Amino acid sequence: MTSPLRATHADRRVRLPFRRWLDGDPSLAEITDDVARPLNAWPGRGWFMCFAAAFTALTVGAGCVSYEVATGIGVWGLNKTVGWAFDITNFVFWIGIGHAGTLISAILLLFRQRWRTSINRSAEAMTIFAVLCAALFPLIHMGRPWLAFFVIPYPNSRGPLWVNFRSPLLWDVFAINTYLTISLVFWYVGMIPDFATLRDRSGAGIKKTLYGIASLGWNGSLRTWSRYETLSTVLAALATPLVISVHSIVSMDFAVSILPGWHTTLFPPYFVAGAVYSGFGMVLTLLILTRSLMHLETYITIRHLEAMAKVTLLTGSIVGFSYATEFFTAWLNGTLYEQATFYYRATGPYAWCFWTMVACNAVAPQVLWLRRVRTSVAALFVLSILVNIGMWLERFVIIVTSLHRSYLPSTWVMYRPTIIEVGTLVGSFGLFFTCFLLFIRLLPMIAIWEIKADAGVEAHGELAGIDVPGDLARV
Amino acid sequence: MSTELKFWKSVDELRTHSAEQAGAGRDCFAGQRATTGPPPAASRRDFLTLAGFSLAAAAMSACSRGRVQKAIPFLNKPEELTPGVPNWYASTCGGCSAGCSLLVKTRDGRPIKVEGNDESPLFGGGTCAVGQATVLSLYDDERLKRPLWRGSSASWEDVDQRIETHLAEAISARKRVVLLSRTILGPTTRHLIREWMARPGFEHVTYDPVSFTALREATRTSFGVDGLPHYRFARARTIVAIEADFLGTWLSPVEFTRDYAAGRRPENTTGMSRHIQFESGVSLTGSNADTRIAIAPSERALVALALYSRIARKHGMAGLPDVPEGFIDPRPLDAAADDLWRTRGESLVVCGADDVATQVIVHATNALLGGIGTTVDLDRPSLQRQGDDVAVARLIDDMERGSVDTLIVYGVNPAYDYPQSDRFIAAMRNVPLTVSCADRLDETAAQAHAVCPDHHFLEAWGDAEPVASFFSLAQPTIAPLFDTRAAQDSLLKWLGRAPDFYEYLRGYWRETLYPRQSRYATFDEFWDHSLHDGVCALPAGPAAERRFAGDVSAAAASIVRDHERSAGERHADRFEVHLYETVGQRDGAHANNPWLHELPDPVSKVTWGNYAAIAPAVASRLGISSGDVVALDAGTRRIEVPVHVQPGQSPRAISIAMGYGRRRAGRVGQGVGANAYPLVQVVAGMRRYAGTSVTVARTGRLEPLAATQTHHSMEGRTIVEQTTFAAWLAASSAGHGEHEPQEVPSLWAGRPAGAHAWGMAIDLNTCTGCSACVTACQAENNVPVVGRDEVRRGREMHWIRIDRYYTGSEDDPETLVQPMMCQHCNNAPCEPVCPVLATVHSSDGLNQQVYNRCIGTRYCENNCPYKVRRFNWFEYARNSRFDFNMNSALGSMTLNPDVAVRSRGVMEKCSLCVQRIQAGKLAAERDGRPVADGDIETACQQVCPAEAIVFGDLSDPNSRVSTLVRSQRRYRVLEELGTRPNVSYLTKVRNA
Amino acid sequence: MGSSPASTSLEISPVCSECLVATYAEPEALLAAVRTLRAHGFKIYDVYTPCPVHGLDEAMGLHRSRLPWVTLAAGVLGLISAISFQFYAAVFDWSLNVGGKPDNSTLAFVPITFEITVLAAGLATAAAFLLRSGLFPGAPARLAGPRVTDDEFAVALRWRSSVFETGEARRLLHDSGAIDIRQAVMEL
Repeated sequence: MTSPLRATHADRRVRLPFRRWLDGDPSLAEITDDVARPLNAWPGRGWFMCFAAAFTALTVGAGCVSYEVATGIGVWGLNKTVGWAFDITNFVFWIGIGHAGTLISAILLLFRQRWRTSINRSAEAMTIFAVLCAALFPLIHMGRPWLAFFVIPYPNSRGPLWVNFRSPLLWDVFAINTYLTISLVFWYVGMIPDFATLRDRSGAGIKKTLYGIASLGWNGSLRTWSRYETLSTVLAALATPLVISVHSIVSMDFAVSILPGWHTTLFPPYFVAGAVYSGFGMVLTLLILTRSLMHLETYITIRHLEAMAKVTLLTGSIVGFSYATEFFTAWLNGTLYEQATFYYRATGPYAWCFWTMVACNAVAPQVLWLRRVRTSVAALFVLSILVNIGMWLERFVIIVTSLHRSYLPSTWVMYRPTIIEVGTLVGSFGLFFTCFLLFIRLLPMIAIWEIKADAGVEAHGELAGIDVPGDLARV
Repeated sequence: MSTELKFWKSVDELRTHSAEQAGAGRDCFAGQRATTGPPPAASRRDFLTLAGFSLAAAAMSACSRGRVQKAIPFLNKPEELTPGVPNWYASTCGGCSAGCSLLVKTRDGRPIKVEGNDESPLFGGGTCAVGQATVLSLYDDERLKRPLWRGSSASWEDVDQRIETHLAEAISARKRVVLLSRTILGPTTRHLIREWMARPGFEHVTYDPVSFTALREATRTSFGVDGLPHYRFARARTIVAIEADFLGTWLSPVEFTRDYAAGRRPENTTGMSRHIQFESGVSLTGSNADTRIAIAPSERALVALALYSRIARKHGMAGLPDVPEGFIDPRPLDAAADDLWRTRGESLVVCGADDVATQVIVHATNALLGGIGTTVDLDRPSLQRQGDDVAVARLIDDMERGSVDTLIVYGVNPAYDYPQSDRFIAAMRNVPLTVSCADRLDETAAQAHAVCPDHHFLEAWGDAEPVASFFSLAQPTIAPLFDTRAAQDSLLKWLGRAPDFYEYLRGYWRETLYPRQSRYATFDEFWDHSLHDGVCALPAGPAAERRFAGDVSAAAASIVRDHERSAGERHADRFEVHLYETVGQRDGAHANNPWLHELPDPVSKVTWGNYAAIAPAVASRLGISSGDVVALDAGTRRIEVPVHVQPGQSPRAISIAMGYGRRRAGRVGQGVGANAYPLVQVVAGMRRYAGTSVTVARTGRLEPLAATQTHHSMEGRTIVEQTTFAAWLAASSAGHGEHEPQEVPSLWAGRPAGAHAWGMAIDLNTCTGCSACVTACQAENNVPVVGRDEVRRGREMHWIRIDRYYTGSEDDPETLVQPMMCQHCNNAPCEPVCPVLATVHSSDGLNQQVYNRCIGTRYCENNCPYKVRRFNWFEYARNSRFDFNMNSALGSMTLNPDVAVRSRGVMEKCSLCVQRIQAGKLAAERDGRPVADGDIETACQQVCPAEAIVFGDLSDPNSRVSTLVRSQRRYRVLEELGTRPNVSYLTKVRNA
Repeated sequence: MGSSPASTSLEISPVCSECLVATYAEPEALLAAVRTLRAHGFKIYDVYTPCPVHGLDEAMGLHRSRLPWVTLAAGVLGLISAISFQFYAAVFDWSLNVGGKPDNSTLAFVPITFEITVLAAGLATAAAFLLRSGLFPGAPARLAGPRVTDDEFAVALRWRSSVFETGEARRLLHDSGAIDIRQAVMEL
């Protein structure tokens, strides 16, 4: 969206009190310098330590996956009754993480939440990487990934041989791929002007060439800008229903089945809320780390964190409410099997997972009612970690406790993960953080042009009213 | 594969005789000999055999991936052998001492499946799990491939020459030559042995690992009959069994199951038989009883005595005065006595006790009940288990004393299964020449000077007479795979006769049996028909008047004496051991058969190994739980086994299965479980399988049992429906609980009906849970064996399983069983969730799994409410991690060429034997007729001795399955889900 | 002086031409300059900014972009093709009994239809944008000034000899607070 820009070096001080989303008062050139600095400077020790850790995890995961693919799914702890466990848990977890990115970049854009500008770029990057991690699991959980192309309805010489459009798994295939593609486009389009900026401030050399190619010959022409903003709005408008559809469809992997504990119409909204919740947890974790790591406190302010904390509080409460609803409906519908499933979910051998999940997702976020907590970086960081743990457990509880004790007691078993499964999970985190750490070194992790465009917007009295984080309720 | 193969011996005879044997002869194949060796004399035949083998190989490679083997097409096709079309040969099972009649299915020259011979008046078409697995033992890589002399392989000529010279010296020196054999069922072999014993100094001792000497002795003293009574359960309306697992392992389980099931159908006009079981461990039979009373082994005699005393009083005789009472609750005893008396003439008491006195009392009871001649047939006694404990004990003494010059061991393995095996092994060393005819280098053969490997029974000629005047023939279904020789041929050779048992067999039948029949004019006619049918029943001798002549008071006195003695040493922390055979392992002879190890015990559902079954109360008192390894100390002998907490177990008894802990059985079998034979007591030569007093001590080790079912309660769900006979008489739909059979309304119009609607009905009343169907399905459908660790991880691959639930109290539960396989739902939850349409519905009602389309998402497994789908977690075939039958070329010979071997990452499940359905449809089409009811039998249905499983076309209102489905007892599992299964169950009805 | 009447539309000539480029440090100055210039009938070739500036579109009298029509068309196309393909495959080409469900399980086809619609619309719009704006990998960046993608704002005037001779343009630009005015040959 456009916004008049009045940031003149002369009368800056006058407008200081209105600068509510930037700390300090950088000039346009300073903004460019600040964001571009990490791309030119040699990374510091902190970055290297993080990268080493992430890359090690990635290697471990790669090892586990190759072993599994070479030997068979049997190296996991699955059995005749529990057909999914860590694999699909990780899948849903990562897909959920992705959602915060789209929410910030698209939905908050439509709602004109200016505070998004500092974080939307990295949030979108997080989306891409999370979806990549997620897409990995359906592939490897088949054991024979080279057959994955079977799910594509391609014309073939075997006579009519199509796929099953009734299967939620096939819906997944389309949803995930669409989501990944649209997110990538959105992300890249958003970076074109910044690439141009970087191109023009770097001296001749490989960097200039690369940025030149990536910037597609952008020259800041007004006509392009005007179309460009239309495009952003269109993409945002498309991505908003998309992000909701994706997790609804993921939830249908379970809701469409006949398994007590899976078969419920509550799942789509419940899963979307959970996704946003876990996503914001991950954004908090990442930004709290990077803002200090990359010295971007000016742009990612405590107020940004507080705004995100409010979204976390909201979605967390929705999730907690969903937990209660599940039990209520189980009690209400009076089905023996349904009731047994939820009875054992809360008291059975996996009860500890369930109660940890409740503590992390339903109880913990309630502390965010306190402003002191919302504005304490340390508290938020701890909380964001809890959110990640809780949301991973939520998927594990839904999948495993429903499966391991279903209709026929003769088939009841226990599921125990193997070291290979744990290694694969670790590996997915490794992949995620490796990508993210490379991203913050190689690409502008803050949308330069949007910061510039927004830098002066609060000067407008008529706009100032919009920007109180309280508006988040409208998100 | 064998390195050198013998060619068919009796080519000439084969030329001259009927198609059956000719087929049997020509179905043999000579593998590498034919390819590498010099061209043999009969080159056409040799070429055909080679072709047969190549086709077999081709058929196997068709089941495998990536391995290309050349198939050499027939030049001249033999008339009997059409590639892809099975040939059937009648034979006799060698799996145990029951000698069931079989039909052997051979494909392209190799036996791939055995089935019961439904022309047999005794056994019908059923078999047991062991019988089903025998075909795999044929292709056992651990079998000896050639004779051994002092541990190193030798030629037959060499070994024969040494043995013959030694025997010659023995005869001249009047030394003792002893043949130690298992019970010989074959009349011809018995005749051969009589000839053998005619030689001066030649003796024969019969040894049964699990001995019935007590019953045999009692029968002799009571009735003067040499043999065991032939029990006729079909005629019994009240059955009281004291520690006799007659449905699982006792004498002739297949025959007994068939007869028992016949009397258990509530629709019978005579009503349903009543079955009361007194036993210490929970046996398959006990789990089926209407009333089951847990007793300590030492109380078996008292139960028999108490029953006798009650019956006697009812009979007007003076009951036994000094019978101890109050050792258990007298009410069930009274009830049992009342029932027995009410149905006298149609009552039967059987007892598995191992002391003569008890068996005498039981005989007396049956006599009082007028069972002699009706339920207890002594005119055609059973000729099984003729072993003589005392003779065996004496033999061992003699061997120790060195008074035995030559010992020939045939078909037994005392170095493993004799209680004092160490004594036996030591004694063998004092024998100048020991010869074993074992098929493998087992514990005994390893100690013998010479090993002359016997054929597998599917490679040999033979006959059997399990019940007097009932004969069954056995013919070769494949040429000997290895350089082995029938034990009978060896004996003939060593007697200086022509080593040609086939001719000998015909000779015996010509001289002895042919005259006893009047149906056929010529012997060849008689022989050909007998060989074709496989069975022939000859008229028994004149029915003699059998009256009980045993000494009851003496028997009673000795029982009371024993009781008082044992009462003295009774103690809280001492337990009575109860040794039993399992349905899968029996006496341990098949220890190297992976199918039988993977077969879950019908009651405990434990696979791969034995355990000490302990009552829940005792377990909690001692702080032991399942999987804890305990040491059972019987003073001189001590074994360590994991514990299995068994509801219904007698608190005073610890049950342990024999037949495990083989040291020399082969890769698969050795070291599985612990050998319990040492706990058998030898009292005055007689072997006692129960009563050994032991203490229990924890070792601290943990050895989780590989059980296929770990949760045992139905959780208040109506899964196995049960009602009482009285309730069923009142309302034949009783037991359906809250859900009456119903069609859940559907949102959609049904799909157009196909030509057929295949369906199945399973009568839970006649199904005993014997699990023969599990192994039959494994054999028919190439179901892989996964081994102990994978079973522990809950990954057994069986397409059909027997769910077992306990109801009632932990100490005295009621057991319910339910065969569970793919229910072929019309609204199958597994189908819509598959992204690639790898599982869809056929027009005739089958839920199909398309292996080469499956990508392994496992959603179908998750969404199946019956959890009958099985995933190939690994590559189970040709994978050294799963070194069972499918890992060797030889073991793979059992694979059914009509069924694909599934590869890694593929979902599989019961197909209702679609290959049999297709074959049936083809046959009908060829004959230009519609498929008739009964044309198509699934493997599980065919094997079931109780005929509890019926498969057929539901769209044909007159088919058997349709009539069963119309029954008021019919219900479908979880039908309230609206899955509309094609498999129905009939409510279990028990006498209250 | 005789100035041509202000025209609200801009015609862009594809050929290279000589331009008068003025750069500003402040967007307001730029905005003012644009207004004055157009009031004086100057044809502004284009404006170059590091970020969108509010009001410029109106000042330049730009039409609203027609991209949304592309979005609509592509979306409808995607929707129709997705639903019809699923219907064809499941009902006509390969009708199977899948769990007793009807061949035409339309509701089950909705999710995929929706995803394809969004995918088509999104990709088409992005492609149309790049095409229309002549953006493609390796396209030369024609810059009005070295810092227009950083912190400077530039306006480019097409050469009009009759006007420039008077130097009126220079004066207006100078008065509007341009920090630099130069003649440049821009390949625009």
